[in-house]
Amino acid sequence: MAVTLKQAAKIGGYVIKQKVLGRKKFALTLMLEPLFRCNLACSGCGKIQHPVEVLRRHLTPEECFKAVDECGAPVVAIPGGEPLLHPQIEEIVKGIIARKKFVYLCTNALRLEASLDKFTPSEYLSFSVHLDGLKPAHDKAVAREGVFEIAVSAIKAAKARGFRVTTNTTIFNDAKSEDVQAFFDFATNELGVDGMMISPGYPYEKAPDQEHFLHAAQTKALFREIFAPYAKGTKKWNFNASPLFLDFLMGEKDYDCTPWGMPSYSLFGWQKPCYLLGEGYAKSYKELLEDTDWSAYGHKSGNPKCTDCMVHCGFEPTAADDSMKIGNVWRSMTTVLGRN
Amino acid sequence: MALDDDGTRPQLIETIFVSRGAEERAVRRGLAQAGSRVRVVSTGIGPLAAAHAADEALAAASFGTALSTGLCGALSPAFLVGDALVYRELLRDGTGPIALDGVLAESVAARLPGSQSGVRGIASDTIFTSVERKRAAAARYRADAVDMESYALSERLGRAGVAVAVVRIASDAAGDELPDLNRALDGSGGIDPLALALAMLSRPLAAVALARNGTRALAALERIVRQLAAH
Repeated sequence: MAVTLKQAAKIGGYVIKQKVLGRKKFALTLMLEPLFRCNLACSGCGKIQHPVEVLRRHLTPEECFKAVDECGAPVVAIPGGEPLLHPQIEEIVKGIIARKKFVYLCTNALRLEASLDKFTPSEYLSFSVHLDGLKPAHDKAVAREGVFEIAVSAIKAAKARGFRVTTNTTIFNDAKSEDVQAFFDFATNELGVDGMMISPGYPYEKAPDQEHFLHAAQTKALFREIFAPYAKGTKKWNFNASPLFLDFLMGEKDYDCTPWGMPSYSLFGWQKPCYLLGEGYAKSYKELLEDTDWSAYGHKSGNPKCTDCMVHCGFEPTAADDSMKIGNVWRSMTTVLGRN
Repeated sequence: MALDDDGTRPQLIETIFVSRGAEERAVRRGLAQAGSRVRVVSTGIGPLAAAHAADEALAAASFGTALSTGLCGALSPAFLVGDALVYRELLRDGTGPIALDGVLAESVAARLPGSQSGVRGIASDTIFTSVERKRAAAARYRADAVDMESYALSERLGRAGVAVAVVRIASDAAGDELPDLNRALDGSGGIDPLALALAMLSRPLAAVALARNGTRALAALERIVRQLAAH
């Protein structure tokens, strides 16, 4: 099951509560980056280009908990950098779970198998393993041979020990739809993952490879091809995403970005305005919400940095909000019931 | 537990193996600052010299735990100059990995806040001076770090029933090019100073970076030995 009943109920209840309280801007997922250090140097990554002095530092567990409490989002994703390199990662995860938040620990899995003893299986914890496709595509994306096999072995080990495991996949413009489909088959049928997250890549200014990012029209065309057998019902893939977000990727929904929906907190503070654009930092979540000129971001703003962005962190929250509309509730429930 | 042999507390590490020269001096400074009198065995550079030192140490005294420490090269981009790397296993081309004593490694890592544990080290007879070679070794052996003595020490000492921990300080990052220091290795575990000077002069920028990184790494080595000994 991509999203558990408990998770769906908690998130749904949280959204309803925000609506009842009249809050127009609220976070669904906190992107907590406890460090930027990573054991891979992927060509499409814009997160690891920081100076060495920044790479040496990491958030303390207390700083992480303060951000989680301040933000209030029911889901906390822990990307990075590679979170399993954080010397106190188990303490951080444990503390967030104790707050009844759903944790997605995003990892490249190089250290996952050796780190499993640090964690306890829980419906509140999912390992979200970075896999950009089958072996050739993934090893190329992470610029290192053999990483795919390590990740697959770690996923199997984690599943065998009762952990929830999802995958997260970034699609670039050199992806072939049949290869991506083969990967979905593999992840669903052979690995038995608890859900797959998928997103087009965002053209980070700092990423070494600028040639392979998707533009909006390309994104829609490619995702229509990729999802074709799924839309027809001939493939039963298990996505950890709102079906409405998948519709958006295929161009069947016209959403604008909800940049405050997945705020990002790191060593520098609350990143303005979103996880992808680095336009300064706020000292508090309140300051982020109140002092950011949100009208300057999203497709309708005309901001060129937002024109081609269809990344999940901006549009999943829009889809989640849309899913609360009466006509969309049943469609959204299919995520819980096992068919998007 | 402590490193000090004060007769009342059990020792975590009974013998420290380290290459002679700057690394040995850093270790001795760290121990002196902590007031520790743990036994230090200096080795030459390279696997043959390390194996010889291990054999001599085993013949001279009985001990149950040992630490192989000193500098290493980082092969994973995760590791930065000055990072303390606590090895989980060691391998050498053509041989299976040696799993190090997990309990000892955990105890050591617990005493070194900020250290990086679970490291897979690889042995080499020479210094990895090019980024290309580091990348190739990282990919082929899935290794995180490289040094020249730890495998030989762990293999010899492990065979004699000694529990070995390896903590190495990264003195160059995966993306750092080094001067051709291999020209300066004299084949008997020592360094030829003239050849070293020539190697440094032939790559002045890399030599400056090496000196800067070496200073940082030696300071970190001194610190981690002090931290281990202070417990």
